Amino acid sequence: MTATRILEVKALYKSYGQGANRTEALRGLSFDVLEGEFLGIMGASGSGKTTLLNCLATMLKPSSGQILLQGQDLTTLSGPALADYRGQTIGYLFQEFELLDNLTVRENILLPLLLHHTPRAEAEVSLQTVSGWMGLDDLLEQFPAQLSGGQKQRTAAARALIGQQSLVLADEPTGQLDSVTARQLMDRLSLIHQSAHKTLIMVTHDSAAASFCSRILFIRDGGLYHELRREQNESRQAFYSRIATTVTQLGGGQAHVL
Amino acid sequence: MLGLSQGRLFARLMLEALWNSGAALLLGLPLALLLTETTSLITAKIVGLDLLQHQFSLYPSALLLTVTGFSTVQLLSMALLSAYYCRQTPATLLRPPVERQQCPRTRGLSWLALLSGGVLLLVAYTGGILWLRAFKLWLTAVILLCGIGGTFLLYQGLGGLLGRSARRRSRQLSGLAIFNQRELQEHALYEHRTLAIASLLMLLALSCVSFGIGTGFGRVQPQARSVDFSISADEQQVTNALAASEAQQQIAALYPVYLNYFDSQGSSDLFSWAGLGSALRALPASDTQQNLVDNLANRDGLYLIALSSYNALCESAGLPALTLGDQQALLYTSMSDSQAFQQLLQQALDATPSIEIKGQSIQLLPRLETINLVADRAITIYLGLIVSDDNYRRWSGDTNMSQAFCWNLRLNPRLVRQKGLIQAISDLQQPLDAAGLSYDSYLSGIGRRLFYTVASSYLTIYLGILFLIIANTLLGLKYLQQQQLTRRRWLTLLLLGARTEDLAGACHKQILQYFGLVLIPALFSSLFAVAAMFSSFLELPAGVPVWQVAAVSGAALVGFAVIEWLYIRSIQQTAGRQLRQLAAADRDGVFE
Repeated sequence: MTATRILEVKALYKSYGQGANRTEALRGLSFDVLEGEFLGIMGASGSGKTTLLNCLATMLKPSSGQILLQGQDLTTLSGPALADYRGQTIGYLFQEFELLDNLTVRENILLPLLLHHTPRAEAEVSLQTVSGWMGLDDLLEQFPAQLSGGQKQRTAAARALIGQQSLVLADEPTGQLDSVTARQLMDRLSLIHQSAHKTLIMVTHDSAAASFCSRILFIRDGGLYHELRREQNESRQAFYSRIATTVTQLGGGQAHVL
Repeated sequence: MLGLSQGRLFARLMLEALWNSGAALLLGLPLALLLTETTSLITAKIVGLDLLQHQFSLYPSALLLTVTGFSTVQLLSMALLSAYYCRQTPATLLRPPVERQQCPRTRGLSWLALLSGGVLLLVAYTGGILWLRAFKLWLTAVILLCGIGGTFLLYQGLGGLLGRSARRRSRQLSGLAIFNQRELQEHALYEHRTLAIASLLMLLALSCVSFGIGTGFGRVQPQARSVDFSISADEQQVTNALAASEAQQQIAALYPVYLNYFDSQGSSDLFSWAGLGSALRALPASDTQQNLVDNLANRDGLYLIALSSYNALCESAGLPALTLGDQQALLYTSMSDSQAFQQLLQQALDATPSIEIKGQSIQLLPRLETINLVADRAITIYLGLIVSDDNYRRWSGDTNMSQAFCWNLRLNPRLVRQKGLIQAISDLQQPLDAAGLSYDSYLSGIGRRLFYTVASSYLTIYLGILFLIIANTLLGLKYLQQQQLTRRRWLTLLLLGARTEDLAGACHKQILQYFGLVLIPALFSSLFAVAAMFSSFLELPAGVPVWQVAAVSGAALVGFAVIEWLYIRSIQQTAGRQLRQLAAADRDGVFE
């Protein structure tokens, strides 16, 4: 069975500043994402990976190019259509959690649904599901200030996954976590990806986190540099070794990795 | 971090504060002078003074004190602020301000604060109404402390109450309503001191305005102009001073005022108020009644006013003359500020009580006389008796009626119409001053009344408005600061798919609730504050209809509501603008 293409990125450019201060963050990037895929995006600092994710999340407007999600060009969205896309089509997992500190865990997770007037009973059922996935059942009445970093990121993940989103975007989700907590979070995300068939795109510089992905795009200087696919029966450890090798070679500035 | 020493940094900050103070004074002082001069000119115009006669006065000492006071406060506050920042490490100062993280306070403590605040406020409300009239300093201090402490504790405990309400309602509310509820709780948790101060300032504003209106009614109540001059001199001196034909043309009436104190020196055989005292005791008990009965019991004498003098007064005021038999008298008071006092006396007089003077029973007619006896209202007669001239001669000791208390003069109404009252009075002052006579004029009475009005009414209303502006500015600034500090929350909501117009609506609602958090307790407390004022030291003067006070109070309340609405609207617009700017920029990478 052939998986359908959920996302198409075509000749994406993004630049900051003007004249002599102009910096090209993305230089004509093009790629596709298949439904149910767990795509990793890796690259050195300043390579443009977060800019790319922010363009996908509509947090940044590209200078030119197209981003087609299920055939709809995201670069042209505005007003209510933009709000609906953000609230109902994508879920976003931020590096710094971005939980609302004055809301409880329950209220934080439910927020995307309640903002879009999902019936309460339906929202509560979804809450039970995601809080079960993320192991947050006992923490629902706590405030973020009472949580550890891992618990905060699990809450943020639950918020990103609670709706019927076509796409979940994650920006360095393990960036603020220690290795054990990061591993636990990735285990959970991987499990959800497999069981709920969610399409995930994750930006990371952590090879261990990237090893949970099914495909990885390497970006350098705003352009697509390399791609790694996890083989069907390849173990996570073996995939990790290949990623680590690629990252090392990328760091060494080799022109051809393979 | 770049090597500037703390001392030099401090000096630069102080210099900047000094520079800013200088700029503010340069701009503010001429403006303040313009405002005060405009007020003076308007006041002069209202009382009928020729604007050309108005003199500009500027006291260098006052100017110097203003400049010194303003600069001292500015420098002191800057020094305190600088001292705080000097104690911080560069790392702390470089760090951007962080959003406060909500951590629920112990539920027990919140409830304890809320309950004790409520109890203290209850004590203050009750104390204000029941005990403030005692005018005891320690009691007033206790009431004040209970009120202030209660308000602070109430707001300290309010966070817990709002949190409980938010938790209970969070399963029914929509996403933004939950957010609003939590924001409100956060304001109460972290800004409870600001909210309490703003609420107390609002209460002060409302109380000051109420007090100003109350006293204003007492002072600006137009009093019947019965006398233009009261001259303290004998007949010869007065007629000599006013002999010139020019002066004569200005005079409509000139008559002696026979007023004398009858002193029984404690002998009840000579004088007794007993009949009036009994009539007063028969009336329903009240504080005023008790005070009056006690006062009568301790009075050994009274002022006697000759009927001929009083009739001359009535005639010049355009009122009919009175007639009295030998066994009759009229009770007189010039305590026109106290409505309750006059009502009580009138009720007692309705029973036509009798009093005893030198063994003779005198019946008091059922009518209280209150026309001003002399030009200067500073002379107040608590209780007097208008008696026939025969009785006056008999009891006052002035058997020939040759010792007038003063000579009253009434100006020619035609001249008053032509020149204006103030000018006509000024013209007649010249011959009196030239003769070196001592006198009081209606003009000096107006001046005194204006002074009282300005001092007790306008100033308190002005202070009230000032407190209102301070409270609103404090609230508005705190809200906008908080919104700026928590802009990532609003951005997060945008990125979670909240529509800009929904966010603006929620923000407007939040501001309304935030102001309500301060306004509702302040309004509630002000009801008790006004009730306490009117039950203790503030009383409406006689003759002022309640509807008139209610109308002015209603207008003041409407004015207060309009000011509040304007303030809330302007804060809503500023907050909405900030929000829309955030929404417009959210695809330009503001979240990065």
